[in-house]
Amino acid sequence: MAKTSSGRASLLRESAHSMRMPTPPKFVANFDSATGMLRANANFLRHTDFPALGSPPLLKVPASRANILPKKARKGVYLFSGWNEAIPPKKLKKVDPEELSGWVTDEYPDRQFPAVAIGSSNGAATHLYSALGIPWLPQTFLIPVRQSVHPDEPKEAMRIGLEPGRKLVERHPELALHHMHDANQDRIMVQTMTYFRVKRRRLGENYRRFLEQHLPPGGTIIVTECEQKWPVVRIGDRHVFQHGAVGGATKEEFYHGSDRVAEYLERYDSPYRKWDSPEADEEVPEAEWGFDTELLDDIRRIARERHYRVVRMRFPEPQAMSPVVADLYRWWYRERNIPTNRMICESFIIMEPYWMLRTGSVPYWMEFNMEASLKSVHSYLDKTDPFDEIGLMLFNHGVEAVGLPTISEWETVFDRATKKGYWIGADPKEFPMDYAQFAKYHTDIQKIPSRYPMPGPLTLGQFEDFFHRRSDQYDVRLEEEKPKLAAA
Amino acid sequence: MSAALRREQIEQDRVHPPVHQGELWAEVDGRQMFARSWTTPNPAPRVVLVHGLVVSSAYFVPTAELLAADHSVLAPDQPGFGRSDKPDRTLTVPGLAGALIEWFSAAHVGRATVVANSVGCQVAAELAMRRPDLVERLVLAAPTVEPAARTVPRIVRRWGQESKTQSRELKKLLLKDYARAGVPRAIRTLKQALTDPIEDKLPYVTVPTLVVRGTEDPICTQAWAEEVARLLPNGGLLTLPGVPHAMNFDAPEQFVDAIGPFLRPGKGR
Repeated sequence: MAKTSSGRASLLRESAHSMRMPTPPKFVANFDSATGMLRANANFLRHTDFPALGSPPLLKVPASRANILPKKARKGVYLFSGWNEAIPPKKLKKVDPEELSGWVTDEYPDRQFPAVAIGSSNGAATHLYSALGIPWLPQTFLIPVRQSVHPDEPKEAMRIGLEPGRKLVERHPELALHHMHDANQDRIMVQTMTYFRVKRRRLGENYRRFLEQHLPPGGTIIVTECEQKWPVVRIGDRHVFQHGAVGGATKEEFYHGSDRVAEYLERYDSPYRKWDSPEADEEVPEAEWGFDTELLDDIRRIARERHYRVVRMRFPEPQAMSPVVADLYRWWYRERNIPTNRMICESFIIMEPYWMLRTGSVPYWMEFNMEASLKSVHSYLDKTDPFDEIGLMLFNHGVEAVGLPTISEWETVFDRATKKGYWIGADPKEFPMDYAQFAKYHTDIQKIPSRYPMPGPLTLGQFEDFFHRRSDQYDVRLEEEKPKLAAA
Repeated sequence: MSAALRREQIEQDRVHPPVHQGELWAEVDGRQMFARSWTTPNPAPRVVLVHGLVVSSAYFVPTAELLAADHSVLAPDQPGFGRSDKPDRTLTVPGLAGALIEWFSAAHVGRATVVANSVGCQVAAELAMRRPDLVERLVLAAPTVEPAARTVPRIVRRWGQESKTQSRELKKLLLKDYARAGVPRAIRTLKQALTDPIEDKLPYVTVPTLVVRGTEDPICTQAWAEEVARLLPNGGLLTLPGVPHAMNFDAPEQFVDAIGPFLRPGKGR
């Protein structure tokens, strides 16, 4: 690593965005866990940071000024940006899963890797991939379809998704469709769009080709398997409807209501006081985070053919990975004789793998900005050595949803720091409509004065060693598949 | 025909059975794959010949004719080349090997000894690594691409040197095969070949393998041929003096003589 210089020039160079950014197909959501985390990691592997959640650099300036607008106009802008991302139902014909996976693989630099991860979206795991210097191929993508429905009518939402959904799964046998409707966290967006989340059940040509060209024999496939489940209505063999999602309200609340739900609906002037939910018939992998194990067949086949190791990394819910990765970074800094006194909490796709390492900060990823996330941070802090500083960046989704902690509740995290706690790029009084946060997290994190050289990647062996020495502390399993003997 | 003459004919046929040269079409991945075949009425061990970059099975005919005396020989045109259908996208080395694996079952090849030349060695190594059950023995003649030569300018320079060792017949054949495959496909396939790390696969190629190098070969250097043999868990190296890169076309007698004992291990010379 070259010696690091300070000053404006190096700052500019470090924030310089690669000019050669491949563009995703029109039908996939830009503003989503899979695309966001993919870009965060791909940018890292291309030695750049992650400004404005990976959107074009030109959008960064207007986004940082978003809070000038009155709240109503801001809601309009957020709504428009979502509507603009969605595709009209008749364009569903143009959905091409290979085009999508071709874009994913084009995001990564053209070189050989010691391992490749495939599977669930997970922010903590994204930092793990960055530390190991390896790419991740997402299983799940969001295809937003332009359709309008009253957010509090889940049965109607399900109905309008039936026909387009049926056609989509018929055209693409390699996909399973999870139609998701969350009137709590996604209240603004679900008014204009149907959330079609698709999960790959086959590797397909482009993922396969990527493995063949970038993972040499003897390499490892890490299967990232989030076992989060959610009750659904089964519509077809590969088509389910999911009412609600992981975050603020519980499964119970989505299906049967509660006082909190009634209050929330009243607050938003809804004619309803509970959701009239269709009856769920089973629990399946959750639409956004859950891993569909159907994909394992193809992974095992290519591993057998090309002599890859397969390591399954399984965990019951998205945030179970966060303590592992936070501890890993802390251990790694300690090994490099770097102070390990700062933790930065990230939320959803507000994350910065590059600047975490440059500033020597320990990343703690939260799935969203809801109660469960706050609880997860506190319970991690209960078990670990205290941090001197704790920084917090929060995703803003514009809804005072069921289970959304207040700003003063969030600030309890700062009380856990022995020296100071602070917001990074946030304007807490605007929460949860602080859209400027989408641009400012990236500039504000650079105000942290410390700078460390970028380390070389951790080896997979180092990570596995680290993990197995303390695996009993985590709710994560790391298991190597025993290869079946090939016919000799 | 007198009884004596007929007996003589039968005896001759037994020693040198009439070779039937035919064509074999098989469907792989929805497309037709062409192969030349040389068969005899007697059961004979099977050999599959895997051609190199952009050329076709025609490139293996002189070797095939000699081997056909005591082998049943198949020489497929890989997808995109020779008379086989062209896939929409240029296949990678593992993609070509995948097509070959499917062709093994579509053409009912069973288990065979695989003889490959040049970039064909990359395909054959991938095949043997993935499906050791299909490959009895493996001959890698002039394997490519040495890591030190994995850039377009370097490989083109070596190629230029190699073209001086080619016979007039070979040049004619190459011209025809290149015209058939098309220049864009040739360039794309070359790029694929240059990104294929054969050295990572060789340690997993467990079948008995013979590496053959001609001393007049500027593409496959002696050091690289030795490295290939060393990486193979079950490999050996033969160096043939005065023999060029395209030994299967321009020096078939030396080539077949040299690999004969390896192909029929029990038989002796």
